[in-house]
Amino acid sequence: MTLAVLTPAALDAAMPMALVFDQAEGRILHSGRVIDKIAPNLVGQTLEDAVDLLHPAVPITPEAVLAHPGRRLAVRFRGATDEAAGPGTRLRAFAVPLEGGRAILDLSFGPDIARAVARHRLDAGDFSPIDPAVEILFLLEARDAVLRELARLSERLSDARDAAELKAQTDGLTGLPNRRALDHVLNRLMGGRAPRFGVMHLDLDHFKQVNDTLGHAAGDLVLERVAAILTEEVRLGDLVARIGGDEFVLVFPDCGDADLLVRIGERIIRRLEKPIPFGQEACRISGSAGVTLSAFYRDLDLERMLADADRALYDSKEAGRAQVSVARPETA
Amino acid sequence: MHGMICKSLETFLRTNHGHDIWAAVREQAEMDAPEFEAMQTYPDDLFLAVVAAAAERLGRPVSVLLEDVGTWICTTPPLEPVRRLIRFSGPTYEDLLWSLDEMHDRARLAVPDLDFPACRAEEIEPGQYEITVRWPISGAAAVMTGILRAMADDYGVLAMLDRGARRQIDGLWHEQISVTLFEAEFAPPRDFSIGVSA
Repeated sequence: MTLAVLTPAALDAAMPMALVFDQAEGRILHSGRVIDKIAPNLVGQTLEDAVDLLHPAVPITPEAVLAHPGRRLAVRFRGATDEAAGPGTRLRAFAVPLEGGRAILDLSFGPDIARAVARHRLDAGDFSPIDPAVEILFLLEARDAVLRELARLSERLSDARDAAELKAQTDGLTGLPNRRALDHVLNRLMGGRAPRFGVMHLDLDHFKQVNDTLGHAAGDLVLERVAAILTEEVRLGDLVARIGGDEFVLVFPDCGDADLLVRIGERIIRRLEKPIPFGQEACRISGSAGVTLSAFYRDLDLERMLADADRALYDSKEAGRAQVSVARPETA
Repeated sequence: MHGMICKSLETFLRTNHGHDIWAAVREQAEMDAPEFEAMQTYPDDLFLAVVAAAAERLGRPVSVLLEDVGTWICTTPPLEPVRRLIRFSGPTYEDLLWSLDEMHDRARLAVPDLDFPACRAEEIEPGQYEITVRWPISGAAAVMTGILRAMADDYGVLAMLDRGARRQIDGLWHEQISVTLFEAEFAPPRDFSIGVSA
């Protein structure tokens, strides 16, 4: 029973991506208006002339196409291959036999619809007004916009985290790294193969008197000045950390020379002893230091190294301050 | 309120009126965070406070401010994707009006928790449309008016838009916009292709 006869115009409106061919030769009798944009002038050619069957991978004959009605096929138009854009778009297809020895091969885009639309310069009018294909394109654009926004958000969060981390490892007054940063650096050094570094523990002398007689503003000024001196007296790559009120730890990577550290310490102390002007007054301080080297230890233990540097610092204090002592671990 | 809507308002204020205005608006609205995040949700009250503070700072009615925001969303180059997404409604301005009832679902398709106003268009007589906008917060019609004005330019049609009656039914604001289309093709439309944008 024939239900309806479709004119080419009606077929084009309802199925803009359909081919009609005759079952005997595979000759193309009608090519939908959208197919015309992808591979023009197909009418009169045979399926074999115009189309490659990609799936199943067999020669394209009317029998092959109609062997499994309703099964999804994959095809490509030969004429759509282009040197710049590469092989023609892979299209989905399925065949429906018609009365009178004819058949329809209806086509559709697959997941790469966005590229296909751009490549063949299709617009909304090329899709049936009820085709949700446009929604897919809409969704792809919306997804890209959302992903861009998420990427921006994640960048901002990452910047904020870096800033927070830096803040957490910095002493607010002097801008020097704090105890956390010191632990971080020391643990990193210890994690290396055959760690080699020196540590200096420095404590200011007479700092409390400055605070008590001239006030905290003077104390803060002194600490900032000390931070500047310490930073100037070490190499780039050395670490100066403020770990307490007037306590500093200096770390010297790649250092195995105790005399060098003693000289650096003495130079620092000489500079610390220069009076620091505060209004009409002058702040007078000095410093005592203890140093130790990773090279002193057969079994390196960070806690012990720091304790030895601290003990050496107290040796300096007991010997009259304003000097540098070198730790002498028992195993040395 | 979805962060995308909040962020749009913030970016409008920052780019059109400066960061100082934004800082003042934030302070007046008692907003703690320095900025909105597009991917977060905020209390409606905070959004409303920001809108009210912005209108007061700029010395213009809330409805005028919201219309400007709507127009700006469609015309500012950094937000080109928004204009493009709206153009997916169809090839003509009438198609856009007729597909307004899908805009809410489309917005959801893109951002599942985005509560876009529900809109519906009716043709009163040829060239004369009545659009109803429903949203929990008053002011959606003002934003939509700004959007539809900008999109009329985009499609190259001459359209007159007026905001009409509004009333609250069961917690939802129903606000009306009347659209009069004078000429279907007034000026050449702006470029739009549904393919991947350059």
